[in-house]
Amino acid sequence: MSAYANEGAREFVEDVSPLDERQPTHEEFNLEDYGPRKVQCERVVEAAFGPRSVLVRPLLIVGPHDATDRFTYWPRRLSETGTVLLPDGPRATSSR
Amino acid sequence: MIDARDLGQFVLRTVTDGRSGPVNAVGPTQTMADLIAACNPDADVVYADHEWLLERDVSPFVELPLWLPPAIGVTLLASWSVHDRGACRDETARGHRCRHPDVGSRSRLGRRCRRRSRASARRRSSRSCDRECYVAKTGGRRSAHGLAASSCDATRIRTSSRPYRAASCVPMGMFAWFQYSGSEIAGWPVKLKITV
Repeated sequence: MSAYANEGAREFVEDVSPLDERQPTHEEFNLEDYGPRKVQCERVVEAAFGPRSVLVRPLLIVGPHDATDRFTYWPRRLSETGTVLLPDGPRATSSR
Repeated sequence: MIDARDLGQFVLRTVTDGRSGPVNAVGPTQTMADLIAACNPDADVVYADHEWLLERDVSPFVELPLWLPPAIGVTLLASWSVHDRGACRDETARGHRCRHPDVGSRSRLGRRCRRRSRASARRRSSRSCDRECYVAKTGGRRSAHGLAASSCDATRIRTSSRPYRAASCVPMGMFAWFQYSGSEIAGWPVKLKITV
């Protein structure tokens, strides 16, 4: 989903939402360029495979052997004792 | 977010069905309330607002996973939302079902959590919210460095019998959202992917 432009949009539609067309500012990996690089990757795939390409845009990928602890933190923490600190905000969007 | 197994099935179906073009691949909408209900409905939870957390230098996403205050996370989790054409909804209509986030009841993680929960309940008393905040912050060398708490334990505690010791590398490099503060074990690949 990082391929989409950061314009404060709350939803992204595949063929409609603008992509992050900024020019990358670093030669090597840098998080600032994450979106633009994603878009460049899609362009490379499209150039090579044309209409036979599928561009899958996932969000967080979780599951067994996920060592990043981004999602696993929560089930583990919720299963432990004590008061669990949760971020406030729109309760319906926090883990989409 | 989406489970890797669902994503794998989805990609396979997409290819075998001969579809093309960009497609959002997200799971069904889940809320923190869903997660609590699935893991531990009896959990004692307290919600802290963004300002309270930011005032205490809690590092978004790193020290409180999945949390991004609106000012920072404009395009990240706080506002991620996908139109009806989202892959999973399409797939649901086509008979594909994403797994339920019931990590608390059936999965290996859930079983391990419950075992750990019973064990820790015996030896631990409850903590206050401030204490929880303090615990969440420890581990890093700098204020924005969180504790790298992998759910995948390193298993080697000894080096193998080589004529020389295995290299033990302290990760260095540019400042990033996610930093390890410990040492890596040679032969134990570490892959981090903090964005999607």
